Amino acid sequence: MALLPFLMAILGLAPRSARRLPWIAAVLLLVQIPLVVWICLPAFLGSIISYGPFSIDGMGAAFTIITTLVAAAAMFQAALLLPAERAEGHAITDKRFCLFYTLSGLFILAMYAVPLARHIGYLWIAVEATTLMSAPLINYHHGKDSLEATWKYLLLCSVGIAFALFGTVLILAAQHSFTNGETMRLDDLIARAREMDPRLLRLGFIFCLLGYGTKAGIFPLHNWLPDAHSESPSPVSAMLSGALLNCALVAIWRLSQVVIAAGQGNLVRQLLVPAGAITVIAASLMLVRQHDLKRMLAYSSVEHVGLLTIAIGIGSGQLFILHAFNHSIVKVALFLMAGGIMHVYGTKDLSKLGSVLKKSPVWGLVLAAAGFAIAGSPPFGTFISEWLLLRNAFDSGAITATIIMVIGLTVTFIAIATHIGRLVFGNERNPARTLPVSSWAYAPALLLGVSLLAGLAVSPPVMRALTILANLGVK
Amino acid sequence: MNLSQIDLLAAVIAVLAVWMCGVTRVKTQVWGLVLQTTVLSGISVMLSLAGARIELIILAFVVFMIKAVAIPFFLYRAAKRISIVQDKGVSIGPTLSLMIGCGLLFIGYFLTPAFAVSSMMNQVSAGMSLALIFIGMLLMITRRLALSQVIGFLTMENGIFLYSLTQTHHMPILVEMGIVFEVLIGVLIAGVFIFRINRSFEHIDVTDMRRLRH
Amino acid sequence: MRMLLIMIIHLINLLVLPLFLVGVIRKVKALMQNRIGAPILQPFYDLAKMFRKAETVSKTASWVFLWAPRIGVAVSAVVAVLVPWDGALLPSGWAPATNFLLVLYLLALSKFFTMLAAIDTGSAFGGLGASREATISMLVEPTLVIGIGALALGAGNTNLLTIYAGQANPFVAILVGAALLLTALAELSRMPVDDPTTHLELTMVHEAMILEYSGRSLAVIEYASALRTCIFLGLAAQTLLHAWPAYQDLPILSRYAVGIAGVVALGSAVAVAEGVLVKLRWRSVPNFLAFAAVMGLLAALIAVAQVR
Repeated sequence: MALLPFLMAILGLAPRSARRLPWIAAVLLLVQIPLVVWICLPAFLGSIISYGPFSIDGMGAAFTIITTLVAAAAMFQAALLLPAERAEGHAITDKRFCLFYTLSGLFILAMYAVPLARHIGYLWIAVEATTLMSAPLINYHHGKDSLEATWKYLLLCSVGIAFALFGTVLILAAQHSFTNGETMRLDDLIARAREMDPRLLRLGFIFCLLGYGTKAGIFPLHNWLPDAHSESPSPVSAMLSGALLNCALVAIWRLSQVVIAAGQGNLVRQLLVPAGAITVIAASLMLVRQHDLKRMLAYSSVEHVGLLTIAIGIGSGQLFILHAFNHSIVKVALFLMAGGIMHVYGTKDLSKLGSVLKKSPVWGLVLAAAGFAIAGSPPFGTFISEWLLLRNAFDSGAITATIIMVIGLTVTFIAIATHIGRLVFGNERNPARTLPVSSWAYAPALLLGVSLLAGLAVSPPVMRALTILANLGVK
Repeated sequence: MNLSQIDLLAAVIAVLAVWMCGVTRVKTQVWGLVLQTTVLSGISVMLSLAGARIELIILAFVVFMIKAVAIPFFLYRAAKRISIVQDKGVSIGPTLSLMIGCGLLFIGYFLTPAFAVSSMMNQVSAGMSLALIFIGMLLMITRRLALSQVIGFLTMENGIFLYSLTQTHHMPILVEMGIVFEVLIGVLIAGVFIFRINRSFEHIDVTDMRRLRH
Repeated sequence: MRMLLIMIIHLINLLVLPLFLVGVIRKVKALMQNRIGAPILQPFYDLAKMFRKAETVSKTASWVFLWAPRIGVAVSAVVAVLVPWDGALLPSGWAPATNFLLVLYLLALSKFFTMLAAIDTGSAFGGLGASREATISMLVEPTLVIGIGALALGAGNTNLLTIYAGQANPFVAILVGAALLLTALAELSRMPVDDPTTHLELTMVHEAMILEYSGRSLAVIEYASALRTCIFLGLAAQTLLHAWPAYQDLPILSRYAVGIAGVVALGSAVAVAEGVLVKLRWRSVPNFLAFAAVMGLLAALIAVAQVR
């Protein structure tokens, strides 16, 4: 399974393949999708496969598939977008172009390693590897703004990761009373969680939350997110928003399982639910005043991370998977469209963009649909998952958080509708530099179709299957 | 309070970190980092001799080569290439920084009971490693030059390594090696970016990089 | 009988050692600078010469100007007798008032009068020197109090004689000794805080305050300054020597000998430092003194942790 992205990474080292590399990469990753589904199938049928410290359990399978979908879409769009940018005159050398693919390949590999790791040490190494591999990708267009964004990303995420390492070490130290040595394997940790020192375990979880929360973008540690996601090229933004944030949240989920197994489940609830609620409301408030298209999308990602955090906090793995899936699909579609818009109009400033519908009906339609989807309106999948989340949160007693979530989601709906509405239907502010190509909208449209399907397909049997999936490997 | 030898060395590392707070020259800071990591490797060797664990000696050697030789050499050369030989800018001044660093050492010491593993011998080391982590964060937050922020990060990593050495029985060596190599790659990538920042902005003063606002 | 011997040697040290120490410092500094320099006993000759000269007093000066040198030498002499700066093992009943806070503030008293006298002359440089001296003393006094307080915490008593007669935790002793040495550099107006041989008034701190003095007053001030050198360097030497556990058990004469040797050694070290270091920019002086303050704070932490 790791073979194909690795192949892509290796190919990137040969600069002479620059002309054919984008399409080779896209094809490789499209082939990857059925491959991954086939490999992860046993997990859906209820059995876990292990390869040493990595094993494909329910969560691992789900998030691997999400990551593959995201990466395939991103690479497909990159094959359309990046050569067009190069042709236009962005001074990007062959070497840098091929380095993009090398780093992307390694990045995707690292993102596979995170949900599949059953060993908190390797989990940490994988998350750190994703940070290191994605930092140069953000700086693809060598500009002052992207340099600043990359430095902030590198620094803040490194601090966060260091905290996560301290948390991991604390969890290790909490096992000092174990008679036959300490362990970092998740299975052993969950099995013997009750014997661990509760004080050190709680401290460890808090530090890990601080650390992996920085990586995920929980308020107030989200400062790097708008900059990094808006300054990077859109395939990279798509991968960051759609796959990387999920990886960090999976890390938090794994550790929360250990804490719950030790009987300290109320700590998880007390920390995660308020943090998620605050993130939702803060992000929605910041969404209102955005003037940069991709920054707006980044803040929307922050908000959805808040929703996912609440899902982890109330302990509902199936909602976590469902909403992560829906969010990733739609966010990737939006980012890819945004990339196209940037290329066509030459700017991402919202005050200068408008009336996409007139220029290209296909784009306008897809954009409008994507806007509805990310704002959480029916019949898209995001509506169903958000509604289920609200209901479950209310049922499990987190009333304040539910109220805050409702307020946040409302504000977000209004903000996104306004911004994207102005983008699609508004007056033409700036003339487009080139004509939008319809084929660029196909991949996003496909993703939105999947989201529609997901929205219509949710039903009790599906939810039951997801619940089984989420709890696979925990008991 | 009975200090074992390892606690003493841990206290020496923490005092070195406090000293680094008050130093403004980048090259001297790099030397401080070298000293810290050398003492840390020494602790690893002592622990391995005490518990007869060979792997800790290997770990000490690897940590020493990478974090006390390779990385500081790289940082030193980077400082020379960007010609920030002399005094660097600091947001809160070395005096106040020194006092806050000392205060963080106190806080780390008094938080020892909350973080120490009671069955291990070297209790104070937990507090000292906590102090190192706090001081590393202080250095990262208050320094203006990008290179000094990297040094602050490495100090934090030293603190975490010290905690894992003294408070846990058995950290898998493969994981430790992985961590050290990741830190190396991280520093190399950061170095590449520092060069690019210097080329783009003509300086590496991070307080001047405020173009991206809300 | 033993007590009489102790007091006699202590008083002889008081009379002979200060100027001798100043001579040694100047000689070592000259050797560092590759000169032969003045003979070691030169300060005695200088003092004798200055006593014979007439004094010039500004018309605008008041009684403060005339009395400041006298108060200075009186206070310094009292402190030098009370404080065991040369290793004297005086019984605490002999001078029950040797509370370390009292000693520190007596020294501050003489500095206070010097500063007043500097402003009293009405010259601009006097005011400059006084304000700089005030800034330095703001940074130095907390360090001294916390440092010697750490020693007092370890000894369980605030009487300086008791502190220096008992054992001390080696770490506390070394840290406080180093802090005392650094603050001594500041108090005695040595490099890198102040250059005692500068002739540029704008760079002066201590010399600017005594710029207007001449004749007998100047001689008295020089002697008081020599006494203060002995006191500060002596305290630093004693504190550092207390890190050596065997020091307490030496017989009386050896104790004195080692103590005096320690003071002279520290004086030479100060002279060597003067030859090597450069004077700091005024804005960087607080940074330098912050290191001494942090050393004092660390010593206090160790002392507190030990007491708990």
